[in-house]
Amino acid sequence: MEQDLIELIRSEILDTTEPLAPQSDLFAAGLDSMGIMQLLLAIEDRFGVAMDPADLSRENFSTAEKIAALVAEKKGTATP
Amino acid sequence: MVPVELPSAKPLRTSSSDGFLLGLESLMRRTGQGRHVATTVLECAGAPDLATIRRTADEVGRQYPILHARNARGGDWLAKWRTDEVSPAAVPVHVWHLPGVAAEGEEISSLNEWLALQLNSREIDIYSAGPNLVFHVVVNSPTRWTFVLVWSHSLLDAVGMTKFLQLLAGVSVPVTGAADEAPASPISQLYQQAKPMIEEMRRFPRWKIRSLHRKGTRPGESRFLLAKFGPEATAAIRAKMAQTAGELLLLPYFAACAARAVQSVIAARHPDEPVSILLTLPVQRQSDPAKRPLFCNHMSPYTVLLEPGELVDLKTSSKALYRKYADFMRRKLPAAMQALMRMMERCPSRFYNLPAFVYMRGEICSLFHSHTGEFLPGADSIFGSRIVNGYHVPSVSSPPGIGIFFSQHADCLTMTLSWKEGCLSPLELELLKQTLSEDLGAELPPP
Repeated sequence: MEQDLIELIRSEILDTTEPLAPQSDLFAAGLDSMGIMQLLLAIEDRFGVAMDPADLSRENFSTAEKIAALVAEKKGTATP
Repeated sequence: MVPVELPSAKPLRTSSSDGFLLGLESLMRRTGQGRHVATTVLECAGAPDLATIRRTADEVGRQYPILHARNARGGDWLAKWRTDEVSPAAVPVHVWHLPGVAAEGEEISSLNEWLALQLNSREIDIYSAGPNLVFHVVVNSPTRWTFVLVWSHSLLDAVGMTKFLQLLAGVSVPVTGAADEAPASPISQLYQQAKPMIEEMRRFPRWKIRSLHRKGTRPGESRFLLAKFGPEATAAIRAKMAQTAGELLLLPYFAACAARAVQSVIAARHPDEPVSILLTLPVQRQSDPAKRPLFCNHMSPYTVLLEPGELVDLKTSSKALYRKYADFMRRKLPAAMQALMRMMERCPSRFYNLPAFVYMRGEICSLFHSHTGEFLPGADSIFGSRIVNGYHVPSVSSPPGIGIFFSQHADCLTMTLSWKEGCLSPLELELLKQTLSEDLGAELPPP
């Protein structure tokens, strides 16, 4: 899922050819409010996960790794 | 140093987004509302380096012929910037100072009153050769000055202005000139692509959209009010946003605040009617900011309807706005809107708002709104002076007669209320401010 998310963010949200690592700072890479909205929509469509407002923190969305962990938790597939 | 030179050998066609803005310009001119002008204000520390500012104005003016080009429709009916006719010239620089300040230039009594004059000025005329952008330097005190750019909204938008300021501030940013869009598809094909948006627009009339425009009253001059929130108030506003809609959904949250404020005024005017709000929000067509062009508008207007039940409180409104955005994207309405704009580009500008006027009985939308995010990212100084604050003050057309805009600089939020005289009574302005203050969760600071 992490790799899928990275590719999604890189190609569809940030529209960049620059490589992204799981720990790359997404806000520094250009993720803005509009990008967040597109990302939430894509997460809903692809992973069937709707985020609560309480989940929408800068910390949770700072890297693809953290977003993947949050999506996994929401899906109930997080490793204990 | 400005790195890119635009082609000047042939006229530069406007983007289809420019066409939408030219429609508003046309509306304003035909109804005696002046020009669609915006101002960008940078409050700076220290004293202005006038020699550098004038040298830069000379460089950019000569580098970018579009800054002096007139806009005209050619034999193919497409609106074009006549960059081929331009003689190289500097961007005009005017110098002013507040009373009691020993500085070059003409004395003005107050910055905000003077800004209102600029907003209503006729110096910029996109249909005649001459400046489409003007620099002003206002010396406020021996230790404070203000850099003001007055520009035509038909030439560029806040994203382009940010890039332009980044260039002036010496920030290295990728620059493309104005986008020369590919020729449009045949009308029959465009119509099929635009159909979902046309069908969407046909839904609006049943909601009896209203704005702050008063039918039968000629709108007056552009007016504005600035609310500059300090760091504490901004932190309180952001904390309320985090609790209500999450920390990151800036756009739906602030759009919901703006929509509810305008709804409160309309509801007070028409207490027996359920009030829906139709918002027009700018959505950038290019995801990667680096690929967004310097000049020309390149957003798609994203039109979202908030029904009375969706405006009952801020949380519901924010959530509804996000859901409507998701729906807008899922139904691929941005592409449909883009096709609609391409369909319209050969039409005279005065035709642009005609479908909306007809469908919605003289209205376009209920308000204009944007949150342009961090003001001038990557730059903390310009012309050698530290930037203390920065914001945009655009004029708006009537209808809708009101725009509510936000931006942030160094942890301080600025809100610009922009309206047309005659669209807001003093009492209504107080109601608007009070609703905004309650929803934002902070007192509006005095102007």
